[in-house]
Amino acid sequence: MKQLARLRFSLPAQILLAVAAGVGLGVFFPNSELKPLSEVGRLIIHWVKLVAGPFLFLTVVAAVVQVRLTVGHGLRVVFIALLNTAIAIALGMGLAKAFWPT
Amino acid sequence: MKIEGFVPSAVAPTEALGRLSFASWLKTFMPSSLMAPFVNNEILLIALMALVTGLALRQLGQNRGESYLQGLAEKCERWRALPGVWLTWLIALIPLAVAAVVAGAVSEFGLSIFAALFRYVGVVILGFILQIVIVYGFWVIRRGTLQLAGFLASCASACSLCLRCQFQPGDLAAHIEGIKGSGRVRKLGFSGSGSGHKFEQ
Repeated sequence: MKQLARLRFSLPAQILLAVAAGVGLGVFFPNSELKPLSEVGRLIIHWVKLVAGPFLFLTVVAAVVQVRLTVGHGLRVVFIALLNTAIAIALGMGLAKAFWPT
Repeated sequence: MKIEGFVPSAVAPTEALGRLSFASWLKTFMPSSLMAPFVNNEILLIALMALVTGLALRQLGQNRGESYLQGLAEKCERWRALPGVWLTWLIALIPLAVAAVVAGAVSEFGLSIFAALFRYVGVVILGFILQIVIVYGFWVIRRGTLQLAGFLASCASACSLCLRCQFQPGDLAAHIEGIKGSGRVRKLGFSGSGSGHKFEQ
């Protein structure tokens, strides 16, 4: 049982190993031999996106119902969140323009 | 660097969308039906509908007392557990998906695909660092009442929890339940028992 627990890597470590395994496979099977494998990955990512919608909806509804804030505090939180988001968008667009000018 | 036959999706939409206008942006908030955002998987609209639904439920619950609102919240938490479990299973499959996509891409385009990818990832990480240093640094140092060192020391355990939950969002409730006995819960502001939890003021 302890050995099984040791074998359980963290998700980032599993993803790094998966990238290495993917590169290895891709190098050993060039000329688009493994192109159909991409569809397996897309299938899983598609299902993650599919489930994320209902999960997000119920999470936000539960949070809004539970949260205890006055209207003034709520508006202030929304303002700060929008300001942070606007600055993040500006930073992202600035960096994109700097590194990909065209 | 251009790779034959490879069009990065992060670059292509600018040309595909054409010129963006205020009117076309407003049209993105006009779903054809209440279920359309779920059918088309439009996350922004789903979040907006959730916000409106939550506010409407609060309005309904105001006259019926605190216990009614708490009951509603617990129902939402119970229903949320179902897609949460699905997500946990799907996230466990993510390494397989990554291996499959990388193998397919390297097989099709060769190792040169990583040159464009590293540049893209590097710019994204640079953006994160700038956001954390400039924006959050401003809030913590200029507007907050804490010194930076004190802030970092007090939020270390919360950041650790958030990072773990980011990778396993379906396990969020389980993580909170798991650390309840450690004495850190009160500091983080969680209270309550059973599967439901709430933030303290």
